[in-house]
Parts: sequence; structure tokens; C-alpha cells
Amino acid sequence: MSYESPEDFLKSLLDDKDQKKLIECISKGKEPDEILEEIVGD
Amino acid sequence: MIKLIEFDYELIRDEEDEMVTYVPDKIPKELPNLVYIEGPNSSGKSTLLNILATGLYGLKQDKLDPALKRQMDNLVHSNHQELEFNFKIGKNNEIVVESVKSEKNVADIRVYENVNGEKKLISPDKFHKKYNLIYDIPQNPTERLNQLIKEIKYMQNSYGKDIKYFRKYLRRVIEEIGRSRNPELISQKRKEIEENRKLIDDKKDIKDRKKDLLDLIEKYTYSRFIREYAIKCESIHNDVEDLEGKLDYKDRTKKSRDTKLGNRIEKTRQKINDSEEIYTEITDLLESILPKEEKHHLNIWKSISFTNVIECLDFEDDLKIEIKDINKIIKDLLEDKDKEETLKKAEMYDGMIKFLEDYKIEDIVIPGVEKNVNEFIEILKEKSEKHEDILRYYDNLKRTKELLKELDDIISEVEHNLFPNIRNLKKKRSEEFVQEEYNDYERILNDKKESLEKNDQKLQKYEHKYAKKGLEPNDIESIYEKVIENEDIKSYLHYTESELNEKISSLQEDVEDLEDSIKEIKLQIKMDKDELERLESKKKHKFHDQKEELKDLNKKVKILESKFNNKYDKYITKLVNKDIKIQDYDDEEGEYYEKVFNYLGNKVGFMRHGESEYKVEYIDLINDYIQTKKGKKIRLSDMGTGQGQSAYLKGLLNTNDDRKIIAFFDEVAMMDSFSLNPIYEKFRELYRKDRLLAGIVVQKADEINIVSKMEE
Repeated sequence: MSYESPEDFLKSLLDDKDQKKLIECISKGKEPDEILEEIVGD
Repeated sequence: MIKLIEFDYELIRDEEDEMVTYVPDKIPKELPNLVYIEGPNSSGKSTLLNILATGLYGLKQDKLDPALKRQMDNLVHSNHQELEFNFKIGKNNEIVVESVKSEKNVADIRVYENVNGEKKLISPDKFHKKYNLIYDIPQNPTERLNQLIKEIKYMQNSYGKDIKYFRKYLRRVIEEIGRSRNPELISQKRKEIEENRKLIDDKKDIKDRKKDLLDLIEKYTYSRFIREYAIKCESIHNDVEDLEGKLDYKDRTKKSRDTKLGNRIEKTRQKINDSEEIYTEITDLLESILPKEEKHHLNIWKSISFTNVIECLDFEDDLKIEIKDINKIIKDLLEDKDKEETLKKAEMYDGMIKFLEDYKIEDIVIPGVEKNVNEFIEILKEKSEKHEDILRYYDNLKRTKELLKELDDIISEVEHNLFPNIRNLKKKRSEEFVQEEYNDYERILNDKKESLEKNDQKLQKYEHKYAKKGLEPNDIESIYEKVIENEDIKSYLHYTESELNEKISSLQEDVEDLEDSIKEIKLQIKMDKDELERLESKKKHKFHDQKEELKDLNKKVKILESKFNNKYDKYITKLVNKDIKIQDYDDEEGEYYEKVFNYLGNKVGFMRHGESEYKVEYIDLINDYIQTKKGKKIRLSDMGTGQGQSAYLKGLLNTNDDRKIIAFFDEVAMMDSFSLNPIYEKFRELYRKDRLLAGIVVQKADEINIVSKMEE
């Protein structure tokens, strides 16, 4: 198992795709509204 | 033009016997970005690193070693020394960051950043988001490999805060959706308004029908009883006149009274009065129960008089004959097979309603019909109304039968006991009887007058009600004739006076209730319309259609927040504090540690052991060993100190985020060139990739020696 980033490590702890996506967005420094768009937007 | 690290400082320390001023007089004030410094004690090496770390908001960074933080804090916050400094770190001929503490006795430090050629103040939070300050003394390195996981703790906490922040935002969005335009709610409101409009129409129809029936029954009742009471009053009036005439001819001489005869006559008179009252009640009932073909009995019945009974000591023959005949008619009517089934139904509905009335308050749904008790009672009442007449009709038949028997019993008692007795007494006391007879006529006259007054009051009551409806007194006959031909009144022709008046009251109440109910529904519609207008004026939320999805997401984020802020934090804290006993955890916790150890292995990357270099697979900080990719297992206790320091420092430098690293390592005395070279190589690699801004390694030596590590 190898991790490219801390985000990879944190994502590896989770099973749910939305939770993983949230971690991904936070690591990219996105604001809550952008995160919500990303997860539930088209 | 800056190409490196430029610094200057002045530290004044109160050493009790004197104030000593320290300035950088041994180490040059300009240094390369990547540099190795060695020198004797008190040459200012550690002071320089402490000043640089303090100037880069190191005191506001959680993950720095507490011992180092104490030294830094002592520099700026202690009472026995005062410090002022400034330094710049540049790259590619430009200043990147600059830090200034311009007043000795004020702790305020200002850090500036070069943004597109412009010098801008940068806050601690923002600074740590852009720059990764690493300041460490790698003493006891194998133990401190464990400290690398502090970074994970820090990272988890940071993500935990962001998750919490996101969840707050998400909750707010869900609340906003609740308050925004809701098409389902609008559609529901419209439906409710439409249903209520229909309900009003239905209730209006019912109200109109009831009002029509009320009008009809009122006309029938008032015209019928005006006629009946007028005839009655006239008849009683004639009786009164007749009695008054008789009294004029009677001998009014006072004579001694025969008490025995008088008592007997008084008792008989009382019985006759009772029978007359029963007769009157029967008369009223006969109006409603006798079929058309038997109506002639009613005429005979009505012609019967009780006025001369006490005088003649006999009841009229017609009375006795009619009691028998009418009894027979009632018997036949009660046995009418055609009406038997309808009567059974009517009795069943009536019984069910009476039973269910006891459970009205409880909201019980009746299986099969799926209606609650109240609704079911209403349905039964609606059905029952159709059979109400037949029930009433049978009740009246039974009541008439009872009354006839009562009347017959009284007549029989009077004829067989009282009359013969009076006749005998009369024979003996004929003279005294004149006075008794006179007294008797007087009493009858008074009774008749009283009856006349009562009947006249009733007549006036009906005339008043009749007039109140705006009907003409001359039209009574024509109205009565017309009303009784109406099909809707047919079933009420059997009703007695009190029943008709009850029906009128009940219909009036129904009409009033319906009017109130219509008013209430109209008000509800108005309120619903206002609400609809308010709902329609709102804007639909852009996430309205994803409301359920957002609720699901909220649940997931809540779980995630709890994991990062509670569960994972507890696990990593145990690891940091070395507070784990082998096998003292469940599968989930074990899996977490497994991933942490892999992550650490990945972070350290390569390490030197003996003469060789190994790619690290896994660092087990519970069992204290390093697993290499090639399957070698190196116990931490077997590692050389320098190798351990090297692995630890590389671990610190192997960061994967985008922040620019500024790294200061003090006291690397246990590391030889084999162990240090990988660190310099890492410095140069990161510097070339623009991931590192400055790297300083400091070591104790007898002489000052500054070596640039920019080139190999």
C-alpha cells in the first residue's frame, strides 16, 4: 500500500464515496459551497 | 538584491551582575539557503535557529517540539531579556518572506510575504497554510520516530475542524431549503383549498335541503296546530258556556255536606280527569298513526266528551267501543310483515349508534371500513335517517297501545267500583247531593277554563310563529292543504306535536351548525390562500430537488465528523503516547494502526542500515521495527543513532502537501556523513522542485565553520 499524499492516507480509512470526496475537496482547500456543488451537483 | 538568508538581531540579557548584549558576531549575517553550520558552544547557532523559528510564527504551530517552543517563548516573553530582530529569506533574487520584531519590550512580530512584488502582511494561520516550518532536534531518534505521527494527529484534527465546518454549512442549507419555495407544499395547499371549496358546496347543498325541509315542516306544523287548537278552544269554550248555564239553575242553599259521598265523587272526578289527559295524548298520537282508511275512527274519537261523565255516572259508549277498535287496528299495524325488515334495520342502526357513542372520544379506526368512530357514526346516522320515520312510527304505535290499556283500566275501575258506590250513596242522600253536584260543576268549570287558557296560549304561540314566517292568516287552510300534498312531508304526517317541534328544533340547529361550519371553512380557505401566496412568493432553493440526498449526506458527514474528532483522534493519541498494549484493540483499531504504519513507511521512503540503503515498507511503532520492501525486518533498538536520526529527519521532510518547507535541524552530532548526506540530497531535491525555501543544519564543533549545501 502506498500513499501519494496525506489525503490518500485519510481516504484509505473510509469506504463511502461521498466521504472520500469530502476529504478530497477539503485537501484542495475548497470552500463548503464548492464542496457541496462537487458532491451533489450535476 | 537578496539571494539567501539575511538576518540581524540584538539580545540584551540581564545576568544579574551585568547586562550583556548579544549580536551575531560569530556567524555571518548572510547565509546560503541550504547551509551546514558548526561551531562551539555560545557561538549563537541555537539562538539563530530559535530567532528564525520564532520569527516564522513557530510559537503558534502545534506540532513543534515542546522543549524548543519553551526556548523560543523564553526569547520573547521572559523578563530578564529583551530581543529585537529582522530577517529575510529570499529565492531567485526576490525576497519571499520577511520577519521583523522592531521593539525589544513588545512581543509583537510582523511577518511579510512578497505577493507579485508587493510586500504584504501575512497572518499566522495563512502562513502555516502556505509554509511548512520544520524545526527539530533529532535526539533519541528511534523514540522520536513516534513523533512523526504527531503530524497525522495534527492533520486529522485540521480535517476534523473542516468537516465540522462543512456540516454546519450543510445543516444551514437543509434549513434554507425548508424555508424556501416548496412545489410539493404549494401543490398540497392548492389541493386543500380545492377540497375545502368542494366541501363548502356540499355543505351548502345539505343546508339548502335542510332549510327547505324546515320550511315545509314549519308550515305544516303551524297551520295544522292553529287549526286543531282553534277547534279545541271553540269546543272548550262551548263547554264553559254550557256549565255556566247549568250553575245558574242550581240551588245554591248551603246544606250540610255528606263527607263520604263527597270524597267518593272527588276521587271519581280525579280519575275522570286522568282519563281525559290520557285521552288527549292518545288523540295526538292517533293523528300520526292511523292509516287513511281508518281515519273515521279519529273523527269519532275526537267527538267523545268527558263533560257529563260525572253527572251521568257513565262514560260515552263511543269511548269504550273505539278503545277496542283502535286496539285491534294497532295490533294489526304492529304485525305488518312488510315493514318488519325495515324495522329490524332501523333498530340495528339505532343500536349501533348508541353503542359507538361511548367510544366517540377515542381515535379508533374501524377495520374493514378504514374510518374512525366519529366518521363511522356519521355514516350510520345518514343511513339511519332514512329509517328514522319507521322507528318513530313503531314507537308511537307501542305508546298508543300502552295508553289505551291505561285508559281502559281506569274506565273499568271507575265503572265497576266508583260509579255503583256513588249511585248507592246518592239514593240515600239525594238532597245533599244537590250541593255536591253544584260544587262538582264549579270544579269542572274551573278546569275547563284552565284548559281553555292553556290551549289558547298554544294557539297564540303557533299563530305567532306562523306570522313570523311572513304567512297570511287567511292562507292557513290553503297552506295546510298544499303542504300535506307534498311528497317530502308524507313521512312527517305521523309525527306528534312534540315530535314535530323537536324536528323543527333539530333542523334549526343543523342549519345553524352548517352555517357556522361553512363560515369556518371559508376562513380556513382565506388563511390557506394567504399561505399559498406566501409560499408562491418564495424562490425555489437550488438544492431543493436534492433535499433527500443532502439529508443522507448530512448523516454521512456526521459519522465522518465523529470519526475524525473522536475515534481516530483517540487511536492516534494512544499511539503518540505509546499507550497501546498488543492485542488490546479491536479489528477496526488494528486496521487503523496498520494504515498509519504504512503511511509512516511511505513518508520515510529510504533509510540507511549498515552499508546499504533500503526502501521502507512499514514502520511498526507498537512492536518497534521497520519492515523494508525486500522483507528485511530492522528492530529500532538495533539501528545506529545516526541512521535513526537520518530516518527521522527524512520522515519530517517527506511531506506531500503543497506547502513550502523551511527546515531547521539542531544538534545532529550523532550523524556521520553517511547519515547526513541523504538529508542534504533531500534538501537539494526539494529546493530544485521549489518545495523548500531554506534548510539549515547545525552541529557542535570546536571552530566556526559554514558550509553551503547548495551544490553536492
